[in-house]
Amino acid sequence: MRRLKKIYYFFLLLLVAEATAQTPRVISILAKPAADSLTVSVQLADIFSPKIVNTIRSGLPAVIRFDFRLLEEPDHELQQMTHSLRVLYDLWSDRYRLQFNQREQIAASFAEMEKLCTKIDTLRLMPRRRLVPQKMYRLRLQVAVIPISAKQDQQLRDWLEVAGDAEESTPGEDGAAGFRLNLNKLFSFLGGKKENPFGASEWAVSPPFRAQ
Amino acid sequence: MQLLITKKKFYWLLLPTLLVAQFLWAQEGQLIVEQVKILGLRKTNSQIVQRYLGFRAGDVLTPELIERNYQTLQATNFFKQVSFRSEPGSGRGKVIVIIEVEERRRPTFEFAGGYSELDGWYFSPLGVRYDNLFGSGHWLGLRLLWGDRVGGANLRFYQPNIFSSSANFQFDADILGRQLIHYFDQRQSIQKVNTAGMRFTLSGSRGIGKYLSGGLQFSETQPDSFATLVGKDSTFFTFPETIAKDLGRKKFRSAWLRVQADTRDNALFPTKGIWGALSFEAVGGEAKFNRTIFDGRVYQKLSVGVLAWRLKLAKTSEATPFYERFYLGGVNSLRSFDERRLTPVGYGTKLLLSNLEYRIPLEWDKQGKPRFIGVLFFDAGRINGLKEIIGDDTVKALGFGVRVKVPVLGLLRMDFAYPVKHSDDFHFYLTLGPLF
Repeated sequence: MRRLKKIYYFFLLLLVAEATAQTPRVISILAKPAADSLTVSVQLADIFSPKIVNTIRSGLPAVIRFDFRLLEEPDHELQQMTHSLRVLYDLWSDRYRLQFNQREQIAASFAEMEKLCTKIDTLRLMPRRRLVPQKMYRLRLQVAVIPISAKQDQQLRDWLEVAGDAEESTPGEDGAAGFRLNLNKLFSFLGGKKENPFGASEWAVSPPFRAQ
Repeated sequence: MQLLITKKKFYWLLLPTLLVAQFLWAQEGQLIVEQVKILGLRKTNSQIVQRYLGFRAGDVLTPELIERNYQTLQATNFFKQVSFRSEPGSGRGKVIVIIEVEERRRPTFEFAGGYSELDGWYFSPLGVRYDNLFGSGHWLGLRLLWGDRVGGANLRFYQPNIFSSSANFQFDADILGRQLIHYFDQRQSIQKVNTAGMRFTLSGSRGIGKYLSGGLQFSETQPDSFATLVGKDSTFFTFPETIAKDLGRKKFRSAWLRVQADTRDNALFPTKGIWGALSFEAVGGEAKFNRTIFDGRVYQKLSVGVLAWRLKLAKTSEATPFYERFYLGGVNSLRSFDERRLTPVGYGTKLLLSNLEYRIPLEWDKQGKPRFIGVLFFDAGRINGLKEIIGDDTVKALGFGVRVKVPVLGLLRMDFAYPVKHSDDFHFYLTLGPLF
């Protein structure tokens, strides 16, 4: 009986740990066709885990990556779009710099910076003319916060890139050039397993909208 | 006088003050590594990870440096997961770098393919790598090889920094069946040569040692006693004396030394620098011969492109068996001729090959690396016995081509080559990887 209790508490602890592991949350996503483009407004919560806060406070950047998917009703994916917001704490001037879509904003405090990061207003996603007026669309979004460099969340893309590295030819061992395909990674990619060591939000979906 | 002494004292005091001020000023705006913490290691010694890191406590830290080190650790294949983060250190601008890793417990399976100058097209339908098995940072792999002129298996063990030194050790064991191309009376024929061998290599990674490598090799070779005429499906058993003398099983043992230098700015698309290697091999056993090979490459940016030149010089003894000699002609040798078409019967003992290319990047990828490259080239070469084949001592060829970077496969190379004389035919080649 005592052993059973121990096992019960162990699993309870596991559940609590899982529930408290902080990943970003998408509170709302609202897509709206504007005059010439499709815009989106996003509200986020819990974007900075303690690890990310420490990284930012140490003076190294963090990247908030917005991964959008445009769906045609009911569930046909049309396009993928990625936007990155880079947050950097300038230790020397005690200010936070936010770089998003080639624009820079300055925040005087952590709270102000967090507020700017959690509320994204009317972000232009794509030209409106690409949408067919009669059709219904939805927008999906996943948010990931990556410390220091977005490259840390691009393992598969990096791997595809370096797979092109050629072997150096050497005298005595006549030149060979070619490719290597890591089958473990290929299978995990095909199986839809995504390696994100820092956690990403659940996919959130906007209410349906028309281009008109 | 008193004033002068005071002034001197003042200057002596001012100097260290200025130095300290300059140091502090240099620190302003920079992040300095205070400590590196590595988490998640179960079997791997932290020194193994530190060996791959390009920074340590006291170094200036940038996101780009972290990016490079992240990629380096990923490339070791030791870890399933690598992530970098940081924490504020004990003072302003001081940073504690935290590296979290998840060690790989299972072997990785690979599929590989490509083009080799020696073996033509090849595929490795299955390769198994069990790197860092005992946590000592070694590489261990076994792969099967299958191609249009090769078949066999290779086992490789590589241990960097043996006994905590700057020397690296590598062991290779191979069982290979290679098909050599001969031209008898203008007709192409294929002869299989089977080899089994072991190779022990020592190389350095620091100081003068990084330019040197050397080793020992033990092998046994047996060529088939017959050759097959290509396209005729018929075999013949009567070889010229230069080949017939080397038929039968032979055992070899050899020692080799190589001096190598590399100052290229980029290994995949160099725009500046040199790569050069000079190797000498002394072979004993059932045949005694020496072999010297020089392979040098120079890269220089010129106007909109890069001028790249490769010169290969090779010489071996007359006693060298035909399957250890040199050949000329083909996509990775002298273009505008069929594979080994310029090779004399019994292969050559002296070789000169020059490839000059002008590479013009036409399109770049997001990382700023060339994705589409146009090339103009000029090849020249000579090998002893060439005059009997084409009536001339030297062969030259001109051509142009394109290189396209393809995901996974790497660089796809297309070349159109025209011989300057000796033939009116142009050759088209489609292959993988850069020539040099």
